[in-house]
Amino acid sequence: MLRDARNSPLNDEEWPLLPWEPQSKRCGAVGIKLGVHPLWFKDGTYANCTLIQIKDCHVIKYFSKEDYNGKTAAAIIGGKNASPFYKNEKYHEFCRDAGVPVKSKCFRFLITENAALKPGTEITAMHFRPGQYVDCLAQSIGYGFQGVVQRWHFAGGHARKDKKWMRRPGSIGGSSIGWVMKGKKMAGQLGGTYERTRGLKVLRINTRYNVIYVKGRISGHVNQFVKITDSTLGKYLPQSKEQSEKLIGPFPRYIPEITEEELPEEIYDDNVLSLSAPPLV
Amino acid sequence: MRTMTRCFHPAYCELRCCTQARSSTTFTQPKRPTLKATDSKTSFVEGREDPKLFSPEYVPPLVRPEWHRNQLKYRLERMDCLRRRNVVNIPEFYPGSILGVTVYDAYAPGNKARFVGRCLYRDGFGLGCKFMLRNIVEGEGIEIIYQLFSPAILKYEVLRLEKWLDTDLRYLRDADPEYCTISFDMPPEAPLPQTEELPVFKGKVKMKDRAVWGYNYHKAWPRPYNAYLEEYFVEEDFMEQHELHTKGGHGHLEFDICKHYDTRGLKEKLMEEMELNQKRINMADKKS
Repeated sequence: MLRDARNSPLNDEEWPLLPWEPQSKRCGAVGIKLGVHPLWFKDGTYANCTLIQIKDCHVIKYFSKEDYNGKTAAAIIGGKNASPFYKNEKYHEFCRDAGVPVKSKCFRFLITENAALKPGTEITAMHFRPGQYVDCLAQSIGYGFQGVVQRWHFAGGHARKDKKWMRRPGSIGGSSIGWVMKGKKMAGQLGGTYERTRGLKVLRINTRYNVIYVKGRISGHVNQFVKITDSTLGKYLPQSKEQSEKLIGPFPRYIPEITEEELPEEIYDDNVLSLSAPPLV
Repeated sequence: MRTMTRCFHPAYCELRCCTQARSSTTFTQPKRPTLKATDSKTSFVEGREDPKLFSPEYVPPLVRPEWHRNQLKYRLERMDCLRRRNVVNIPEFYPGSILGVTVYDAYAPGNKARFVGRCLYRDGFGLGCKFMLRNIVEGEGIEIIYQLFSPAILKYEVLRLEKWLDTDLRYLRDADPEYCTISFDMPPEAPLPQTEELPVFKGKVKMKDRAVWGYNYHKAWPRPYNAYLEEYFVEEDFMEQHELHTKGGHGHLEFDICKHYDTRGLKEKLMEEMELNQKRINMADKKS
């Protein structure tokens, strides 16, 4: 069926696939945080992993370097189909040109021009590789306007001695500097901001449900949208072509092979024990 | 003259000769209803199903609001639990039963270590399910918490299957030591078949001196049934806890149906889902 789709006369031309070079960045994906559960390694230890599902993820728009800001190219990628009645007209135009349903949440990815993706390409869990490192950006759980004890973990006052000073900050300055210093920790908004967790390892991929198992925890509640990119930490940036095959996924995207064999449903990292593995000896 | 009637559709004819003929050959007396079901030997009792199909750790925890739950994650986690159960036999056991557990230990002789103890509690959902075993070895009380689905656990043996009314037996730390001293050579007792109901242990455990307790067990809510607290306390001492939890604006919570966790149809749905999961696992593990 894929073969027939590729030979169809209605098909537009695919964009050229350019090779990886040092200091090139590729697109990421938009996922949904499912929850947390443990995974075990071959030496018997375990780690708590977050599950992130990549659901209906398509590229919506690509801006080249000249169109965007003269320095980097950009791509808008959206996840999870949604109703078009609550989105604006310009966004509807983008989705219509891409041939893709309107998405619930979009993120912008800054990429190099050799990682250009055609609007309408689908991004699945195979875009990533078990063993690679990943950064996750998500909106943290919002707690509203919070006081100084909860927001900055101040010790507060003494409840028994002075009923007027229980959860207050106390002194906010000295006498030699006669004003309050910039950045003084005070009460205010806690949570609801976009937080980045860097250097998370991908341990396992489920190709049927498009779920990635990432070691560690990320901000946000269950069913929150997550922006997943290849890690930008210095030690995980690939320097050579061989490193790029371990530390980041297929460049610029995953191309499904036309074979009769189907993909294995669960792909594990080398260290991870599958739960149907024989007992340790 | 009597006319010779001929019926063209003997199956539907209402003439007396045809109806009589039909009744004598087609009528069969129905079976007498019996008090016992004929297939009682193969069906499990309601409380003790096959643990692969239903186990307390398959029931997802109550999380509010509703959009904080994700059914796909529960399903994936249950599939992983089933994968582990296909490799290692995890028998049914309850808090109060005596278990023997062989664990992979890289630094032990033969790479194995065995521990025997009484299960004090069993808590958690899915792969994070844990249980605690307690034993008094050479006068020293030892408690170990194990993860039920860890691949480091090689073998489970249920030496004695007991079910106590309480699900949290941590008061056995300050109770009569004979309940938790179990010799490592204890032979496994014959298990009760799953077609019969397991009798619940309703006895009372004698506690140690009140001054030695590490926790105020009489202030626990709900009140532990299997601990003999009446030796040191009177009914009036328990009324304080009863009032704290029922009055002060919270007395109606016991009867508030909306706040209860509705698990009425969950068991059947889970058992159906686990059968589907088994087929899914067979297909998935065949591919890779």
